[in-house]
Amino acid sequence: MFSFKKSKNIELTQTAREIFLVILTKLIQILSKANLTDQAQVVKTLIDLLIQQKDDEFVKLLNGIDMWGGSGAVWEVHIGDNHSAREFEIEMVKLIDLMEKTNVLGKGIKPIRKIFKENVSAKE
Amino acid sequence: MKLLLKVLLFLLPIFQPSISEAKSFVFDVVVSEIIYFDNEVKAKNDSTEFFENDFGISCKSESNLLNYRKLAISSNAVAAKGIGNLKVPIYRVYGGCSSMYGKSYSLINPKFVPNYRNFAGLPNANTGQYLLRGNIPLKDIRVGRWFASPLDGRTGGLPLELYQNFNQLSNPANIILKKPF
Repeated sequence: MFSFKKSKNIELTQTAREIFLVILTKLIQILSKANLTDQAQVVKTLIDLLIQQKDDEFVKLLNGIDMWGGSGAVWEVHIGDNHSAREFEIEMVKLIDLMEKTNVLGKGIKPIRKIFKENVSAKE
Repeated sequence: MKLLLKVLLFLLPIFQPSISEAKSFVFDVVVSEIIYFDNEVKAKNDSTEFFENDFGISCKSESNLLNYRKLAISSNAVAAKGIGNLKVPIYRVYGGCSSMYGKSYSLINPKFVPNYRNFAGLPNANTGQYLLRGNIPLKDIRVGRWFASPLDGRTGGLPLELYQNFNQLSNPANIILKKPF
């Protein structure tokens, strides 16, 4: 009868989906090239959810522990090749920017963007 | 912080007979104040500042005598440099999809944190079978997040999640855990 829990359905625009897709595809390429198969699988799942237009599940996984948690999460991987590492950081910054722009950015992610931005500007 | 204060308090009295008045500030708080008054010497109302930024500590020296200004500066420079080079242990729990070369580290020994997986926000794919321990100079420490994020029902909240490179570590040692985290 009463619903105390606010349920907010997330719906991304087609444009946002397309930009997410571009960034995530780039990320999966970098991760696969670096043989980081488990992290690449997380990104692949995100792409699948995006294609299936399951926005709620996509946003949940996008803000989840597999992306932004402690050791073993996607953000903290080590990429040996410097060029790829820089590309990875640039794409991660783009991803966080887009998450912020589409109002789906979760807690504890902004400090990571700051680190990546510093790294990218230091390598320039 | 205690160690930092000890070093400063140890170093500054060495110069006590020479400095008419010297103060040391860390994070804008006076941690040591040495006052030696010599009637024969008149104060010249000169002061100076020194900032040692590589560890983010500002050490400010003040001396009201021009001749002893450099002495006050050098004492603080030595103290700040010494502190920055102090090595502290950092830890990384890994295994499974998480490699030892990843960049998330903790200043806190996981062995002393019950339910570490929950507080550190480890992904399920990290099997937590191994513990990497290495030492790193204080000046090289880079805080990624002040607290681990609460994600997917994990509590999070473990303070000082660091962002380091494996090659920054000295004496890295791997421990295989009988009871994974």
